[in-house]
Amino acid sequence: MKKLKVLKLGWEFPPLISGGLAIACFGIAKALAKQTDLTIILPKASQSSILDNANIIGLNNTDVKINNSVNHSHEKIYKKYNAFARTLFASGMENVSPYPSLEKTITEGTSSKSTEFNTSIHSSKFSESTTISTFFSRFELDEMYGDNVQQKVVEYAEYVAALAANLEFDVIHAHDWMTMLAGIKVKHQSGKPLVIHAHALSYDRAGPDARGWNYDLEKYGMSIADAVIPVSRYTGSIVEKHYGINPQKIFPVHNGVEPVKTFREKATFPEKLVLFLGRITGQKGPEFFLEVASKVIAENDNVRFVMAGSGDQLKRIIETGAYQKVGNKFHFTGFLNREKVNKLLSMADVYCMPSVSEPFGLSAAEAAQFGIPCVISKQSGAAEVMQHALTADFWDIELMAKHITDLLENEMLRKKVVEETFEDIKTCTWEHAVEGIMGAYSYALGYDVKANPPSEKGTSQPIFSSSFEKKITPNFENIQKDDLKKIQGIESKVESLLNLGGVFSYSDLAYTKYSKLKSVLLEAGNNFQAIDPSTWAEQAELAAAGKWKTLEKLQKELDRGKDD
Amino acid sequence: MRNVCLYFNLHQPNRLKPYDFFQIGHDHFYEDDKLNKEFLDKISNDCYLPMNAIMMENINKLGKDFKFCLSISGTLLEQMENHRPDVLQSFIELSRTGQVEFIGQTYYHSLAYLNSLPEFERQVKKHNSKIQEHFGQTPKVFRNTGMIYCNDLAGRLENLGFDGVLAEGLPQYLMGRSPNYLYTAPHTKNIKTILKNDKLSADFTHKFADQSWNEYPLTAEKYANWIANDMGDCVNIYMPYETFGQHLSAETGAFNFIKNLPYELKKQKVNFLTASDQIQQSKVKEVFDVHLPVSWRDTEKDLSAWSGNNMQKEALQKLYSLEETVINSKDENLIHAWSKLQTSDHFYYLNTKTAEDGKTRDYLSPYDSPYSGYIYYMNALADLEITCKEKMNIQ
Repeated sequence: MKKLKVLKLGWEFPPLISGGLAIACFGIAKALAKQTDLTIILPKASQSSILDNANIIGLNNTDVKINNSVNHSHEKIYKKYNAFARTLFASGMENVSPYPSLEKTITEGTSSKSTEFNTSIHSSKFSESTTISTFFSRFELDEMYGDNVQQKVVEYAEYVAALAANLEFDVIHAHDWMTMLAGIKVKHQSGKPLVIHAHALSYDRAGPDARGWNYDLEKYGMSIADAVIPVSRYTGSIVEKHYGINPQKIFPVHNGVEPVKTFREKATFPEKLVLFLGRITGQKGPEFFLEVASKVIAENDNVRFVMAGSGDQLKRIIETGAYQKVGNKFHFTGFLNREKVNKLLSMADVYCMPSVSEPFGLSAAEAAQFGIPCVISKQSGAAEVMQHALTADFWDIELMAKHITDLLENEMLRKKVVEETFEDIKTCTWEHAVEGIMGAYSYALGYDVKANPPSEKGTSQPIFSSSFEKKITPNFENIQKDDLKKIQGIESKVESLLNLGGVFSYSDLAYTKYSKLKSVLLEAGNNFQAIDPSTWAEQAELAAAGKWKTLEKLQKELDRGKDD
Repeated sequence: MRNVCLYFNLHQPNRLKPYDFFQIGHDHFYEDDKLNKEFLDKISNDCYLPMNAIMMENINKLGKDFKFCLSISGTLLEQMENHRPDVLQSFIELSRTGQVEFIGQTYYHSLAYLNSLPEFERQVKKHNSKIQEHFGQTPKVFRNTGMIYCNDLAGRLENLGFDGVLAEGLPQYLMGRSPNYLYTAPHTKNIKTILKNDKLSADFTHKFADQSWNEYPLTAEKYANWIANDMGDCVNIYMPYETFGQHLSAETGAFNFIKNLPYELKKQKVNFLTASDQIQQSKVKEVFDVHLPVSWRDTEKDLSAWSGNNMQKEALQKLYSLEETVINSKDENLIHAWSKLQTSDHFYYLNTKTAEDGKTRDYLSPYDSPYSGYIYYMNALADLEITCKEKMNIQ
């Protein structure tokens, strides 16, 4: 069987960097490589590939033939990368456009040492009078992020597009905003469908009011993408509602959780240990953890809280902790290496993840593997996967403190949460994730999605906007469903239309306005447009009340009316 | 009459190691012994030994005409006992000349006066016996950590048997009067308040190496002349001993300056007095009235260098909340460990001031930031707290 050819565009990738994005991209690539013909383009890759059956191209060690004939004036570049953006690419565009030093180099014919972007142009090839159409260059990147990351993103896109012109592939798979521009360019150039994987959005990093070039790029990228894969239904809801993306092409796929080697170690102090692990930034909700800690410590002398990690909020949280007078019970570790993180996990009694917005939250899943009961915010993907963890809204200090106290004091509860959460995450494998990803590919390629049946736990069905709220509630499976076909005028196809619209029970139907019902039917196409739902609410009301005899009488009357 | 009193304070803290969370509960030694020894070796070679040699030479040459005051913290004396008995010996030899008056202070160079009066008293007495042990004299004049001073302190010291107390001659309390007289605190009977001449002291400590100063270079001759011509009974020049060789490196000529100063002062017919000499010779001029504690630290010259922010307040509060348990344990090791955590430097490192005061802190602090310092300190304190709890459970 012919394998699907996938062009994956990545930014972080092990072993060069191993943040959460790198772990996810690697996990996906490893599982994807088994089923597809996979090519991965990275800004930076180590010479020694760690994936055997995928073609990994690192732009840092590949010469790329850049087509340089078209858009080299500042204005054009300016226009090109701001066309989608409400926000200008960056202030002082003259200084930060991707090629200023290049042009300087060409016109002045001087050495390339001064190039701001280290594009390593072989300037000796050029003279002042030469009209350049192409040049060879190598992409260089000192750090994956940093002050000029936006320029790097633009540059990466140029290089990827140039490289992709000579590659064969069926679908483009881009990860997060850093690679979106490249994905868009390659889509335009090749006409192949683009699938965007959303690991973390501006919304998560900088809050609901985040705007700017990154946000604009995300919004533009996802709107022209053929499918979007958020890492959770939670993130899917942000993609839909915050970015206004058509929900039909949103395919949430949970990340895999690699089994980790775990061990238990006894803490060297007598108190119980509650752990926060992650970057200390607003997104992770460190101040909520501190509030929760103050609350618990005030009532329980036998507990210590640890905030492990570093970040821009660290100093503020340290001072607030001192102000809250929990300095001797609330500890900071600063940045920890993996070994120390594992040591902490081996000692912890409760794991707390109060993230304000957490697309997935791998650390919570890891903690669960270490046998630690987790208290996690509802605003996280992990809460969908770890259905038996205790959850609370990130701002709900009272409830989170109660959960922690309960887990510290109630051994039965602790055991139950640990065991059941452990089972929950067993289903999270990268192979499983790839099933969902393949579903999104199929949709993007225009196939019938059902050709790749989503497994029951998988979340690869598109979410329909009208029923979205219902779908993300964990109780969806247990929702009360009545046989709507008992209502005169509703046959099975109409029933499923109604279900999709969020109408499941007789009482749902009784309270649904005529205009809403009519619009559902009108949207469904010619076959349904003639159906008149005007009596459904009345019938449903009787059915909901169990007045079957009255309903029968009514339906007979309606039949008679029709005969007349 | 022209008199001068030279007074030097000496102190080294037991700096903490980067005591991290994982050490809580099993590592009960919080200090960076190696680092502290390195500091001691460096300051001994750069300052203590060469300065002691110069002072000894001056005494030998000028005999009874040259005298001065030293106040050495208990923590520094312990460090010398443990690591540099040779340096301690050179101080003992200075003391044997009879030309050095030793000034009292809190043993641990602590802020105990502000946080626990019983603890303050314990440390004052402990320091007295330590000075007696090594130098054969019991301090009669006291100098509090950071020159922290107020009326209440003078009264309490009087009750503890002191004749005098050193204080910063702050202009807002002098109100136009000269610091070169003996003062007294309101409602005290015998104790005298001796004020530092801030202007002349700072001319040396802060401006000596400043090439943009219009008086640069400051020669011993010029300086002696200024002292001789300042009005009053006695000019009190106070500075850290470490000014020589540390704050002012040998290259600045600070050693030559202090070597020549006594001769230049002699030429100007200025007599050397110790603090106790002043108390015996001079009459009290007026009342120096300071209700709330002041200090000689930072721009504000108040307590903000040690307890201005929440981290400092929290560290102090948690430390002193253990006092009762620690003292009642009667466990000498535990009491000593807790006491050493009282050294004011631990709190000074946690101040988050900026500008010049921030620079001074960064220069003195062994930590990369006040925040790291706070983390290490609170971790160490958490461990001490656990030890305390265990003690309580046993009892």
